[in-house]
Amino acid sequence: MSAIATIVGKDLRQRMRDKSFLIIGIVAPLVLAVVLATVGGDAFAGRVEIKMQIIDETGEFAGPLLAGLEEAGLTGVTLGESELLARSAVQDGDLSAALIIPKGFLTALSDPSQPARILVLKRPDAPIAASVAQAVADRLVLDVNFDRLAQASVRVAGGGLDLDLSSPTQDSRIDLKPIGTETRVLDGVTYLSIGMATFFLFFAVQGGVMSILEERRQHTMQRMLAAPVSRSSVMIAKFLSAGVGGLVSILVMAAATSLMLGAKWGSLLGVILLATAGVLVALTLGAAVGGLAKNVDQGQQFGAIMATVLGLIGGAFFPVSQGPPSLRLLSKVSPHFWLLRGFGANTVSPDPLWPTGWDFWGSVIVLLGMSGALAGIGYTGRAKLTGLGR
Amino acid sequence: MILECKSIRKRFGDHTVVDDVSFYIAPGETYGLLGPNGAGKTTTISIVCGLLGKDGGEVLIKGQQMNTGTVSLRSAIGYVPQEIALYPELSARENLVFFGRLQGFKGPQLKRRVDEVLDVIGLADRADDLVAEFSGGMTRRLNIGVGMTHRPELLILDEPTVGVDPQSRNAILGAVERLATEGMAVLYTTHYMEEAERLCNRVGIIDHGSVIAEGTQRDLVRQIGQLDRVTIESPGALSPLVEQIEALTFVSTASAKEGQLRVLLRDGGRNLTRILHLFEDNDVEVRGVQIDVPDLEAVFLHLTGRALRD
Ligand SMILES: Nc1ncnc2c1ncn2[C@@H]1O[C@H](COP(=O)(O)OP(=O)(O)OP(=O)(O)O)[C@@H](O)[C@H]1O
Ligand SMILES: [Mg+2]
Repeated sequence: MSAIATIVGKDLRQRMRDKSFLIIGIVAPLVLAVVLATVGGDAFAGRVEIKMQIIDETGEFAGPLLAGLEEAGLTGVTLGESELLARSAVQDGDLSAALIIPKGFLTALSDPSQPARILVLKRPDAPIAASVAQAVADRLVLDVNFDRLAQASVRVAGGGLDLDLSSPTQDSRIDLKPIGTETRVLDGVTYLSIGMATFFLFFAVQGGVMSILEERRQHTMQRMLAAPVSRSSVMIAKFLSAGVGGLVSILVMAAATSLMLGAKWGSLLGVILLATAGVLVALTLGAAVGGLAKNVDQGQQFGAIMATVLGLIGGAFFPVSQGPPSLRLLSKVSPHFWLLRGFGANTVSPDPLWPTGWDFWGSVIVLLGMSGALAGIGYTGRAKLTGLGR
Repeated sequence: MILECKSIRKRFGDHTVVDDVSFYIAPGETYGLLGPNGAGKTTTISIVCGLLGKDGGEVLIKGQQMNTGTVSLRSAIGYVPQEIALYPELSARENLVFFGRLQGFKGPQLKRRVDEVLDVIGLADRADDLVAEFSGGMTRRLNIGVGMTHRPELLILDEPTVGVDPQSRNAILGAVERLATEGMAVLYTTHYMEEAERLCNRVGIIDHGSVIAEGTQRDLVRQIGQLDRVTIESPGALSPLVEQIEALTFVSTASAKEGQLRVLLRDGGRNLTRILHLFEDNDVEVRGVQIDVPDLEAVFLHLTGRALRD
């Protein structure tokens, strides 16, 4: 036990001293979150104001929708008269986006064979408004009657999120399905803060795991193992210090972005639980990658590539719910996706102390499953990781 | 016996790197493993320390089996790896304290040990500087210091003087001698025969994974009988001469390196002229000639036909 504490203490001291942890675990995510929030301007200033009109030809949805948006922190959304007026207003720049719910939408809900259109009008120079409009379109489907939705395969004809700068406005066609929190509208600052924290969590933790390879290279591993300390104690200590680093990183990020940017992380317990699950995935991913690597440089490269790719497809930088269906499907292999989903659920959890809901606990379970599978891979490659003969 | 190696073997793939190596070290004894690069010295030591598994044979530390899973016996050993094994971002003291803790020491006792070691390796005034700022010789000395903080019964040093300036080297050899006189057993590997000659009570000569000769220096020299060692210094091309010299009936072995031709031969005083004639015939200049009794280097040359260092 005291050997483990000795090694963890040494690791933490080392990582504090070489500043790598400070930079990767805390400074980089925080600075990025602050910079992105500033660049995002008004849209990320807590309450999001967006000049958007809703034209509801069915007359069924507008009321509850407006109320729901208000509650979610969106302001500037108004009711519009007609599609034609909205179109020219978007064209002129008086509006950033418009959402048109045609009459046919209602009948399409009860009749799955009928395709329905929700028209999203957006300006290429207002990407934030455009993505919010699209998220609102998603949200709309969530808010409608689930009985009807269950039988209705709602199809909104159209063509995705390419922003063609040559034409000032663009019709968007999106595939709407009744899916969970990935379509939930988080306020921008919270989304950014959570995204950056999860993105850098993997770097921070993997840095710790790769220090196993580093100790091998600088032969201190052999020296530790020549002391009366079992191999498993050394490994436990190394993983423990890597994990502690990850937890510290995410908790500091949560505290700092809450104080500095007003991000809402939700229940502390939820944050700790999810962060722990995320740390486990990052640790086991590091072990799996490290076991495949030839040396510490390769391990660090593999680790960085994995963390970046998984972060991107998992939605750490932009919400994947805005992306094409193939990306939405792919994103589910990324631990970042489940972390963001879980953190998202935690921020809107009705219970301020105890996280509730399937979106939260389901994500925790998926993350634990992932880390179990990765641990298996890491275990088969453990001889490579420790670099020691049997 | 503090250490007994019985017929240890190690293969990497189908390459046998340690082949039936046996030797023992008595308490207080300094034993040298002398051999060229790739002979299997480090592999043998890794097996002795339980860092590497073996494919056959056994290692006994104080009569008990030492394997990769054995933990308790390890405190009897102080291991100094061939490579520098230190944390550059920690200070000398922090390195010593960390590895001292892993040996189970703490509090004032640990502090006392660390201060002692800092004195022995001559780094007391640099104790709180980061290792990253140390010179090569200082890092080498600390590398050794870390291995002896817990005053092991057996100190294992794997080529501790490689790449060290003469002054640090002398300090290191002096420190090892001092520890040996205080009763610590030492396993010392090197390919410098001068070090083996100065430090070791007994020497094992290892080549291609096998101990090809073992004993005190006198034992080993006796093995090559009544041979003389002749060293000829020359700035010329010596390699072409080696073959011609070895063809002479009274010559046992000859080798050339670093502007020196070393010959092991019978009746050196009388036969030297025949060799010098060859220099003359080949028009190779001679700068100096020396005749000595054989040393360990000559023993190695005699046994393997190769120089210890190429
Ligand atoms: N992990 C390994 N895998 C494959 N071959 C190895 C491994 N470790 C050592 N060897 C080989 O075993 C042989 C002996 O190596 P070892 O390091 O024991 O030699 P050494 O006597 O310590 O040499 P040196 O004086 O250069 O340190 C070498 O041929 C080396 O290439
Ligand atoms: Mg070696």
